[in-house]
Amino acid sequence: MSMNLRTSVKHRRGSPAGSQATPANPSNPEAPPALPALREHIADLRVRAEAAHRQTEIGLPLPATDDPMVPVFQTPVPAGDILTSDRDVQKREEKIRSVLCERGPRRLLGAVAGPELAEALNDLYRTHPNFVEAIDLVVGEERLARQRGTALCGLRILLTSAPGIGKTEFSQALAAKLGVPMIVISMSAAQSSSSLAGSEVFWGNSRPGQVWESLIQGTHANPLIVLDELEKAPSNWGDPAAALYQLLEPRTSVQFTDKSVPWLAVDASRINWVATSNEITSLHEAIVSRFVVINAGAPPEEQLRGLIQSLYGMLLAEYGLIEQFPTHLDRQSENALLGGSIRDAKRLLRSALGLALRTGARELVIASLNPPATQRRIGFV
Amino acid sequence: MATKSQKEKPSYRQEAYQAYCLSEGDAMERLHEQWTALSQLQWPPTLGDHEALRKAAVEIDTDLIRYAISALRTHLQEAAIRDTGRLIAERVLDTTLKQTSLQRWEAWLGAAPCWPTLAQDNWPEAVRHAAEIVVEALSEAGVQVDRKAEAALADQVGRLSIEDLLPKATIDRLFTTSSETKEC
Repeated sequence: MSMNLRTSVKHRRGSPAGSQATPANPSNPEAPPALPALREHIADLRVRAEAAHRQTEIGLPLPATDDPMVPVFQTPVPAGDILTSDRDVQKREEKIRSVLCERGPRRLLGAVAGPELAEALNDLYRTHPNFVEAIDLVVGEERLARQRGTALCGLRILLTSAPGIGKTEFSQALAAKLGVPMIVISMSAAQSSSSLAGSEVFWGNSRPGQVWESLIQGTHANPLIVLDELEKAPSNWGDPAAALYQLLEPRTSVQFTDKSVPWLAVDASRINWVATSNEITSLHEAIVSRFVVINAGAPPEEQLRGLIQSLYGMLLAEYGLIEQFPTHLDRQSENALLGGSIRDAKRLLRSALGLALRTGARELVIASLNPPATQRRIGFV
Repeated sequence: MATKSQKEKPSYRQEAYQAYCLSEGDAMERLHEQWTALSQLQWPPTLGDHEALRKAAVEIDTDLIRYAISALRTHLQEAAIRDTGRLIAERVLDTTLKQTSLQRWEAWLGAAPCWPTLAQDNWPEAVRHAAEIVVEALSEAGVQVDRKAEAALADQVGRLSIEDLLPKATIDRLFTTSSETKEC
């Protein structure tokens, strides 16, 4: 009874079915190519639409309709654990497979190298002058990526400095300039590597880690993951940073497997990493060696003055106070903020704005950085 | 290019039934008369009643019957295009692991031998209809596509064949070769 429909219907009255169709895959007639290709195309459209929606929500520029897309996992998806008799495991796998089918294997490549990106990155020199070395590195990588006609992928930067210099804020600004989603993982709160690489599938509450989620549930193949306060990852139990050995190594991160979804390898090699740390002596040498270590340091006085003005402007804009207060902070207030860190400056400026709003004043009064210790003692005598 | 007034012109089903054989008398009554006359010819009350048979034969309006058959054919084609289009779109959008759309395809094609043939004969119209459904479904899911993307999508859907949508075993079971195909 077997027949070739395309041949047989050619001579029939009416229009032939599939007369213009692409030929089926002769090596595997059960999985013809046209339908999977069409489904991938629809999945791509879904991802693009979602990216546009998310970028709009957070105020980032919309991704271009012709932004490239790359696969983050291979299709067809390999079989899972067929030996398991656990129904929960099977159900969960079904759900994951359904998500994989709906979202498809391809994700957007943000931060496509070019003059526009270079111009956006150059703006960081103005807003974050104390991160010149880091910006130099990123700008250099952009130029290399442009040479190859690709996007900025696989950055691995470890920012070290004293607290309050603005490392996390710089990472946020960098993600915004790159136009890629940013995921911040607080390493001080992590108890194991499950936040990065998922929990073992035998746990009842097993779930994928943030790397897997950002690639599969996310829209981009090269998001920016910020490992905040890396040195504070607890070392007395578990090892939250353990997954980084694989993730930060270009060759092994291409085939990264989350512990919760061990049957699916994802390509995590394009992820951009920025880790922040107040010091690096407590970090394992193998981890440090995988990063480009950049000591941000405190900005010199003139740069700090610029940063304070920039912070002040951002706060005014954030709270819609541009009409109510002077657009430029006076020299006296600037001087009062010079002694502390950027975090201190931000805190004191917020306090001063709050106080001015409460009292109806049009001038800011910056509180002292080091208030005198209270004379009154509290406690047991 | 259609003008605005042309676009706004309502489409009535009546346009499809403006045949001369329906231009006189009560159409429904005449159709009923034909039904009765054909029944009398097939099952005459008395085989020997030649007068009754002659009368029934005279009442047969061959024009009207031909037209009725033609209308049925149109209806079947429309049903095939609509249903096949929906099934193609469901198959394209099916992301379930069990591929439940396959079961619906098999049930539809297996309902009567005429449906696989109808699906084949009306395939180009069906894929066009499927493309419209797919674009609409995506739009409802928040995926807005511009004209260029819509055209690309329609082109891809339009190039699908039955072999792309169904496993070979199902095709072998439900479809017959051209020489074996029976008209519905």
